[in-house]
Order: sequence, then structure tokens, then C-alpha cells
Amino acid sequence: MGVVTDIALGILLVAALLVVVRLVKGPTTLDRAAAADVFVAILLCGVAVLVARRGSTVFVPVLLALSLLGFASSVAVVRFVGREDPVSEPDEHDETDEDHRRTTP
Amino acid sequence: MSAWDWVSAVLLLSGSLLALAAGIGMLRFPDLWMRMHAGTKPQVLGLLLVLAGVEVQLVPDASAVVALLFVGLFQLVTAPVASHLLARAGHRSGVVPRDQLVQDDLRVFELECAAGEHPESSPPQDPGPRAEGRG
Repeated sequence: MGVVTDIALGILLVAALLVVVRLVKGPTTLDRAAAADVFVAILLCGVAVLVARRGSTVFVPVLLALSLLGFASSVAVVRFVGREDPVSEPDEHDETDEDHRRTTP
Repeated sequence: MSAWDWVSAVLLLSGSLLALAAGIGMLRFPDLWMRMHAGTKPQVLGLLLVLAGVEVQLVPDASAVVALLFVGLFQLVTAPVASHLLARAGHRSGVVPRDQLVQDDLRVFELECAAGEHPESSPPQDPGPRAEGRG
């Protein structure tokens, strides 16, 4: 069983590294928010595998806390940067006019 | 290894492989919505598989199994909310290429709201309280 959990932890480590690359590269803050969300999910998987590996339930409360914290953090980030516009947005009050102009052929 | 160990091993490994698929997708897909599509796999199915695999091993310990069930439940409740907010923020801020969409119902709804066709529902882009919070 130890071999299986080792392999699973290795796969999860590779996945987490790939997500971290996206977290660093991500062109916009929203891409980073999505990557952070996935990273927390992979972290949850990793801690769960650790619980299986050690056979002790010490880390189960960590899982509970992480699952709620990931949600709160991603929602906070998205609410904060939800109006970011990389194209052009001089004033957020003009956003609707901007969008109408942009979608008009 | 007993039969239950094999079941647990299969569940753990398949969950981990879903996480790996999500990592590759996050790296290679070109825009936000496609990356979110890839990232949903460890968030819901991958995590549930791994938790099931752990629960199979912890079965005598009822409290730990219940706690892990709650972890899965929280994730099932919160992941759609967070994804919804993220996708809508991407739509509004123009991060995703909206002109490539075949059907853009949210855009249609916003235009209809701007034209005053839905007086019963609040307009989706209300600058009032947020402008206050920003200032």
C-alpha cells in the first residue's frame, strides 16, 4: 500500500507543479484565480493521500479547513478583480457603453 | 494486499491521474474557460475518488469517515459557486474571446437589460455599491 500512495503523491506533485507554472504565467488575474482554485483541490487530494499513507486521522481537520478556505479565497479574489479589463477600460462607469461599442459590428 | 486495498489503490490512482490531466490542461489550454474546464476534474471527481479511496481504508473509524464525507460535500457545494463567479467575471471583463462563441446568452441578457426589457430583474452590471467600495 505504501508504494501506491507514493505513486499517487508523485503524480499529484507533478500536477501541482504544472498548475504552479500556470499560476506564475497566467496572463490575467482571473487565470491565476482559476489556477489557485485547482491548486487547492490538488492540495486536498494530496493531504487525503497522506491520511491514507500514514493511517492516522490527524490531518482530517486540515482537509475540512482547506476545503472551505479554498472557496472563500477564490470568491474573494474574483469579486475583487471581476472588473479587470485588459483591453481598454478608462472608467468602470463607462463599461456598458464600451461593451456595446465593442460588440457592434 | 487485501481486496479492499486494491479497491482503495485503484481509487487513489485514478483520482491522482485526473489531477495530472487537470495540470496538463491548465498548462496547455489557451483561454480561461478552457482552463476552467480542465481544472474542474480534480475539484470534483478527482477529489471524490481520492476521498473514497481513503475512506475505504479508514472504514472502522466512523468519525474520520464522516469528516471526509463532509469535505466532499463542501467541495460539491462550493466548487460550482466559485466556478460560476469566475466564469462570469471572465465574461464581463473580456478576458475570454467572446466573439468566438456560438451562442452568448449572457451577452444577450445584458443587452436586453440595458434596453430595459427586464425591469423585474436587477441589472447585471450595477455600479452602485461596488463603485462605493472601490472609492
